[in-house]
Amino acid sequence: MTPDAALPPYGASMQRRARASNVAALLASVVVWLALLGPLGALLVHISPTATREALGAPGALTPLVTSVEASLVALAVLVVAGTPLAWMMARERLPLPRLVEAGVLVPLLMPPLVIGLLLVFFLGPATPLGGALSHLHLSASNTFFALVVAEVYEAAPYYVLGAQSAFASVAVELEENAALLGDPWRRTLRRVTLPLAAPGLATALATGWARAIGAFGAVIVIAYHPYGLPMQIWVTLQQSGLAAALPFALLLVLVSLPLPLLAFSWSARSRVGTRVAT
Amino acid sequence: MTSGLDVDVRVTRRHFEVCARFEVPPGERFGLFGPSGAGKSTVLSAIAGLVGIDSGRIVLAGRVLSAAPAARTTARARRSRSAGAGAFKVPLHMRRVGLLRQNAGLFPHMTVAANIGYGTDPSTEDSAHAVGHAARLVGVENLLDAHPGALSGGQRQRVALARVLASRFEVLLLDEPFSGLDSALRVRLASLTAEEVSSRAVPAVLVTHDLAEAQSFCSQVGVMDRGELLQVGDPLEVVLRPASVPVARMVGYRAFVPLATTLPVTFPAAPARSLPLGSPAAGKPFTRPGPSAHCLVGLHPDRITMVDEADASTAGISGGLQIGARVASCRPAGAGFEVDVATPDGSTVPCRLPTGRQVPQNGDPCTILVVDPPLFDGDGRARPSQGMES
Repeated sequence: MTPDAALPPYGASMQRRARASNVAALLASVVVWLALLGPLGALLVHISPTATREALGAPGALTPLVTSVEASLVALAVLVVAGTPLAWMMARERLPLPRLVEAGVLVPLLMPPLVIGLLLVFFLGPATPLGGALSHLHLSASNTFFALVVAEVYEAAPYYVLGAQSAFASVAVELEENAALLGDPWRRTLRRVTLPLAAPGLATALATGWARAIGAFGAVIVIAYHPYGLPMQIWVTLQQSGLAAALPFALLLVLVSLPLPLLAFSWSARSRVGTRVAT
Repeated sequence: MTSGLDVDVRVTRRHFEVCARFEVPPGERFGLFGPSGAGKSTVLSAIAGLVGIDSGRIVLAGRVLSAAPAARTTARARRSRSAGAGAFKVPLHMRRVGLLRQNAGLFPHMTVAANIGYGTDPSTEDSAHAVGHAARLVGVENLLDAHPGALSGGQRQRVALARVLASRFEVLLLDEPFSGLDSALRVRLASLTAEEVSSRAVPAVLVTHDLAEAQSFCSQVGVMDRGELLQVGDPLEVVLRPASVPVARMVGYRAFVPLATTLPVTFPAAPARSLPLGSPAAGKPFTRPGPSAHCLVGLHPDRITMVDEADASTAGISGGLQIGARVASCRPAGAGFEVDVATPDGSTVPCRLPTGRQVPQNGDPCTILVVDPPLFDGDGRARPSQGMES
């Protein structure tokens, strides 16, 4: 007697339906994956090597790249120095009114980047009190390198801070308490326990912040049209010379912004597997 | 006292205040026994410095660890982990407190050896020696290169114990650390811990809801419920002479039978062999003051026997209080039977059926003999008994 014949009638059809839903889920996943990668595929298909070499070899063509990378590095440094302690305090609930603090960090996330840029003009523009104070320091938040950094910080801050908060929150308080009771003052505990355990999550947060900073456009176009970063370069080339001419710079932006995030994600995935344990 | 642990604290928790006052001489072990949520862990957390105290002080080996002059009145001040105005709290890393919790709390990114050696100074040679010694004590010397993720629960708890033992500590705090382990391992770790505590001459505090564990490990037991230390005494005294009916219930008394007589009750001398060693009533007649009409006799399953009225004199136990009751049910237990006896106050007390007796039917009348029971007055407080004066 074959196994199928021994099953009651509904058993066989349930098996068929389970197999069918597995196949459907697999198909749907493949479709979504292809859709997400589609644009990258289109880039590689439509780009021509000769046009790329010409565009990137032109004098001054790589200046926007340098500007973008420099500004993003500065923005990232600002986020790490100012945002990491904030993220730790939020994770350990050491702040008063924690929900309000979290909402405040979320605000730039909820605003469209274009709106952030617009509001930054009214917040830091040369005509404002803060803008006046900045000019005493020989800084201007309008069409300067400083303005570019400011715009990138505002666009990337929620991603980094919330990601770092989640990374710190994943380190159980009991571990820090145990380290302290075993004799470590808080700086040693941070170095020996908190940071190593939070590192994968922090790397992910950093990578996300980097990708958002270097690709910032909405706020940048309002307060830092000049100096050109890569996104602005793509936009200007698009307007002046058409879509195809902008492709080489798009490729450049993809190449510059992807590696760090990919590395960070793969490292954090590997580390998480090793430390996923209930102690 | 100049050395040892001296605790006198008041800590506010969400629903009630935890109030504890006790002393632990060096080398002695103090047990905090009570139901979940009684506030026992709060006391340990206060000693460890994980929570601030509202008033009182904690002194260890002559050093003040925490002190607060008066109650912190605002909820926000109470919630804060730092010391409030006028209060003093030594930071965690300087308290020299060894804490072992139910959750081992090992560092998952470090090997077992690194975990055990965490509290030692790695630059000295003593560190490696201390790690090896602690690992051998608990039996994990073959796991030194493993990571906590690869260990079983019992192994993790052993590593956590080794980690504490290898560090510098002047008091050992244990918060139900051995629950969840099999009983053989529990006994081993408990006796190992007791030895270490004695040999290092440090005080230890064990929190548990298992009375047997408190009795076997500790030299003094404090019974705690709803934030209050209801009784402190040696392990047997707390069970034989509970201070009140609530304490009696916590240590296992199942029934409280009212006695109604005003005559003084004299218990004739009971033969020494029928009572536990050291029982004050052994070999001596003793008189208890006459119970009033509202006196209650506490019945504990370990202190009652079923007897026939007819052969009470020949059973080898003379004296004791006899109480008429009924059999509620009878069931096999181990190599014999256990009988649920329905007592006149409406409770049921389990009682082992003496070997050789016929299995009774449900509803049969029976007689319970209880020797030297605790007595309580109508308010639930223990009545003093002259027999205990010696």
